[in-house]
Amino acid sequence: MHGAMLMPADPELVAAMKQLLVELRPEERSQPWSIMGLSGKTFTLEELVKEVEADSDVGRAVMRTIHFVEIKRLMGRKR
Amino acid sequence: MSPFVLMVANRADQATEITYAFSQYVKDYVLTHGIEGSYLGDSDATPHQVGRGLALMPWGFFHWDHGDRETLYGEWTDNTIVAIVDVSVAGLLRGCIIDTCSCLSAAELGPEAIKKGALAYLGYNEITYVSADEETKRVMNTAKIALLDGKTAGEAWQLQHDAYGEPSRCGVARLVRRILGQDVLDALRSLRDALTGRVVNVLAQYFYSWNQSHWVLLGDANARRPS
Repeated sequence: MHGAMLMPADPELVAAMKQLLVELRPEERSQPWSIMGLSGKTFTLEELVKEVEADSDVGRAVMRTIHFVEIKRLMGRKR
Repeated sequence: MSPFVLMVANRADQATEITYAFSQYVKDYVLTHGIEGSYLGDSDATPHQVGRGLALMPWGFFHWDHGDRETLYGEWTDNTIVAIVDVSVAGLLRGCIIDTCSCLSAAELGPEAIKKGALAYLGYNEITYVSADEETKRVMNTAKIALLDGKTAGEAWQLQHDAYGEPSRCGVARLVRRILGQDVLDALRSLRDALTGRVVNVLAQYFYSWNQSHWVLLGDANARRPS
């Protein structure tokens, strides 16, 4: 169950994500998420940021997600 | 086509614990609204039982489970995850409207199912993010509930697409977006957050936006539950 495209970690983005975690409410930080297709496990946002930092497949999927959404958002604004 | 919906949800790991809870929400809706349905959950989500259910030609096939580009998964009775439908037997979905929260399956299985006679396929062509909160459960079940209410596949797809953009039930936000557009809504939200010191959970928003971008409809947008 894989076949997803992934993207390596970006240290600046990891730093920004860590800052965000500090600012979020505890219940948001500890909310469990799962990435269907990559892992049968759940991850809190804190754990997801650790996965990004460790440059794991799950972390790379999160990186790709952030880049994809940002590029799409910028393209939408351009139009 | 038979007048019932076949619902399949496994419960084999932490991820499917979340989607299993999603399935309970729709199962309860089916029961409380007097809709004809068959539910194969947890250790009942076996290839054998699903195959038997599909042979009865339900109008709808709702799936909460893992997937990949070519496959929808269920489980054996020992919790092992196992394929229940893949591209080699996509014809099993003939005559169905399929709605699945599985990852990736709309990439290859979806088109093949349509080619083999499925009416419509609502799903994701990429990995999908799921979370155990009530809001995500509501958003990710939006199309299924709409189909049960008699909406067309196209209407159901649109409602879920829009639900991803509204991670709250705020009517004012909906109105602003409809009349003034998403950019104005974003600007007003930014202003509110700046004034109130609210920190936006942008990571959750990224996950929602990702799901929204990869939520697709294949086949006949006018297909609907038989009346």
